[in-house]
Amino acid sequence: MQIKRSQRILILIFLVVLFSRMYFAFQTPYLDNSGNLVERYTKQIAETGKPMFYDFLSYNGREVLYSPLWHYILAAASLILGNAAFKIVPIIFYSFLIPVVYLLSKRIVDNDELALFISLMSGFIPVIFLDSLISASIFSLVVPVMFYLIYLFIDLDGEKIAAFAVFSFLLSLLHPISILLSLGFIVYYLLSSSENLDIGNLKQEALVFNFVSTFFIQFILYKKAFLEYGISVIWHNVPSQILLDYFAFDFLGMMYKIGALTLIFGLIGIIWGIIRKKDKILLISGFALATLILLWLRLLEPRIGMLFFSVALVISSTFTLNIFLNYLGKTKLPYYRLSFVVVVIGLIVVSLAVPSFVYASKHVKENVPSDYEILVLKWIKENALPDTTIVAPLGKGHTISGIAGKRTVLDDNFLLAPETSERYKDIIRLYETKSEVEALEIIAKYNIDYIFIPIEIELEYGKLKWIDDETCFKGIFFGTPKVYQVTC
Amino acid sequence: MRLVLKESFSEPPRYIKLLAKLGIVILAAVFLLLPEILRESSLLIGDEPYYHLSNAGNFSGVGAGWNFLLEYFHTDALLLIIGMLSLFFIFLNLKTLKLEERLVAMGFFIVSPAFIHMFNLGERFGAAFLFSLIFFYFLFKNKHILSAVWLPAIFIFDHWTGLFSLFVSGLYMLYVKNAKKIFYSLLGVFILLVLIVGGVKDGITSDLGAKIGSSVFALFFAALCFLFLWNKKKFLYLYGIATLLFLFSLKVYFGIFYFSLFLSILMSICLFELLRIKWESTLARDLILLIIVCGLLFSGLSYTNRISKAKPDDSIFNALNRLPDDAVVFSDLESGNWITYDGKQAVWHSMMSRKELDIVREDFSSVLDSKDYTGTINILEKYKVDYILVDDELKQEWQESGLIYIMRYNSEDFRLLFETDGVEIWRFFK
Repeated sequence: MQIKRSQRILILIFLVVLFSRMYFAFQTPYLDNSGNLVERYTKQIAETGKPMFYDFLSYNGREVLYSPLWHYILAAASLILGNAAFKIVPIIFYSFLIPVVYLLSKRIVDNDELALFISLMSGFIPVIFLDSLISASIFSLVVPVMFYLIYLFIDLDGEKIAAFAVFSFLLSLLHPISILLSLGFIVYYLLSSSENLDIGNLKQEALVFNFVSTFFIQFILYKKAFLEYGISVIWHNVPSQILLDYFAFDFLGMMYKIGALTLIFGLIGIIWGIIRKKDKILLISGFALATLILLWLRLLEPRIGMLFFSVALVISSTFTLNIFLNYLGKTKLPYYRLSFVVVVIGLIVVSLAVPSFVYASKHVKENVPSDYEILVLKWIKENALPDTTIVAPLGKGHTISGIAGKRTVLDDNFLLAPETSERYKDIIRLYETKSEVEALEIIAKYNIDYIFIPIEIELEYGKLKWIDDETCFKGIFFGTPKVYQVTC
Repeated sequence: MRLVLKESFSEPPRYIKLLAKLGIVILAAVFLLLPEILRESSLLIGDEPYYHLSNAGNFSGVGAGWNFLLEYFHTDALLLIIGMLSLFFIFLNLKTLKLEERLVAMGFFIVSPAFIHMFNLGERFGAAFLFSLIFFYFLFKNKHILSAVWLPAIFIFDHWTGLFSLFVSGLYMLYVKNAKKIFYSLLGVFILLVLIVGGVKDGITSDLGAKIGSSVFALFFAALCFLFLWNKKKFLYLYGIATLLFLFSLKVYFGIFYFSLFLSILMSICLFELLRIKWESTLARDLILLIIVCGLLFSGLSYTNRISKAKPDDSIFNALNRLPDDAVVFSDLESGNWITYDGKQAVWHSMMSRKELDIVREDFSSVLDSKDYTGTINILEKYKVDYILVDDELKQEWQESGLIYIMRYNSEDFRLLFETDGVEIWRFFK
């Protein structure tokens, strides 16, 4: 079988992206806070074959609700790759976005070179690049599957419908974000209807099927959450104090994380596609609009929303660049084609690859526990009693339960967690109070045995005064972080 | 525009019809018995049945007929019989539909949370619903005298259901007699009343935590069918009635039973209509319909599981049994009927008139919300409270404020008598 030139280039792009991600991911042996949670749940599956639905460590013991499919995939991979699976598997899955973007771009403009170029762009979107490194992120599989479904939907026929059904089920089983695709299809349908474009019966049927299957699976998987919170389940029981920040949408931040050029070309593509009534770009526009609406209404966490929005923008920028190239073809610039290609690649490198590398380097340094932190947590693991509870700020919960293997008071897995707002308030009070009585009240309330004080807390709230009482608190570690044992 | 398949549904053999009917009976039996089978204790579910049991044999109070019947029949047996009879009369009332449409409609109704609630919780509405079905059966057969004979029976069980049945029968008669002006005027008044009077119930769907509501899949399927079939006049009328009943169910407790029944009929008609129209992909069609049916079944089973775990449990009655008879016990509104059923006096219960309840609620809102010691003592003395019953759920609900706070820090007036299985009994010294 002979491999075409475009396929060879695509494989090359795939490998370049894969290895550049691996280079950054393996700068550290550790995972970030959320990666530690994934690792712990996966190891449970690897050891027992069963997923963990009651977490004894989180929130001093609580029920957890999630789809374990991703953890099963990682558990299977970890049998061969060991701990490296938590980095290699997400990177490989995320890299599959490159062929998917290539296929989609080719469908939109039928320009092989442009499609290859767009697929290269998709490999260096900063927000995706970062998510693939140290988080063992489920989105590494969700994002490619979702865009593959869009690809199947674009030219849906009788042969593709079975694949569409299978991938729809897979996506729904992976993560509740699959609802975003259903909403995207609905926005696409509305856009097409408003422009008097007939999408055809088969697409309508597929759209209904996707919607029905997605909601059915979410209702089955998250039944308890729906019963507990009703429609408020969309806010995942996030503490009221951080709800606004949690869903806060920062446009400037988006420019950095998506890349200014991608944002500009992508938005032009979306608007142009709607004006020109281009069916294929309307689908991407519908999806991007659904994401933007959810972000704007604060129904979607920006960190997650941007993963999908950025890829939609990259794909829709195919349309803009195609128009631009066609326009250039009519001018004298084709004589300078090589120079033009060099300039565009240079711009892409500056706006996408450089920020990706800079952020990635910073990300792997700042978001994983330091060697000293690991030393502290390992000491606790080996020396503290098994049912010990450690108090730590919100962003450290999974790291402590993952590495030290001890109970925590709070972490960011809020769904079905008990009294998240109250716990969050209490922990903030504990770190900022000057009163030892108040601190001891909180310590007694949550049966806290160790107090974990990372440097960020000291910078934010100052030195904890009450911790100096040696009759009640015994200092174990005095670096960054500090750790005190409660003795009274 | 979609084409309608020309092939007609061939008449099924006789034994298939019989098997289908048998299947519906078995399905009904399963959903009428399942909550009891899943329940760990033999206690009835909810609080209202305990009101009726407290008044068993008396032809008085709310749901006088139901109170009277409970003296002579076991609640569970009565509910099973009433449930089966209701299905029988639904079958008879739907005679204008094809057999398969009737059976599927009944199947959808059986798995609906409304059916499960009505015939498993021992409330008076099941009986009122049955008699309203009998009333309509004779009305549809133009046997008006026989129909009128059954009307008082509905009032005996629930006068609001009786009034509703009377109103609907009036509308039906006006429609049949072609008195369109009065028909539309009455309908207009009804819509206005539904929109203006009273507050909206908490929750619409039981899948999203409502105490009683429709299945989210039923609502979704109805909405989906509307997208496919809105251009057919017949369906527009059906959807109009469904919308009215939906609004009614948001305002009136028993409205959900009639809405769910109508929704089931609508879904059944739509299902067969969807099967008739031409689909580009039969795989998509089959999967969509399969998911919807599974979804309806899931909602029903999930609701069954939920009510089987509902209060009361033995711990509440074990605690109450240790208290002297006729003692005044204060707890939350839901516990009122359990307290009365156990031979004690409750400060309030869910079957009190709204006027009485509003007064008690206002008094106790200050007890539960504020930490005003004098105010709390005065209210408790006003109602001659002897004991206070608090379980884990109440502790969570009332939090560390108000009454709980005062009880915990005032040993002069309150003393914790005992705690069994998470239920605390506090003595109040007047």
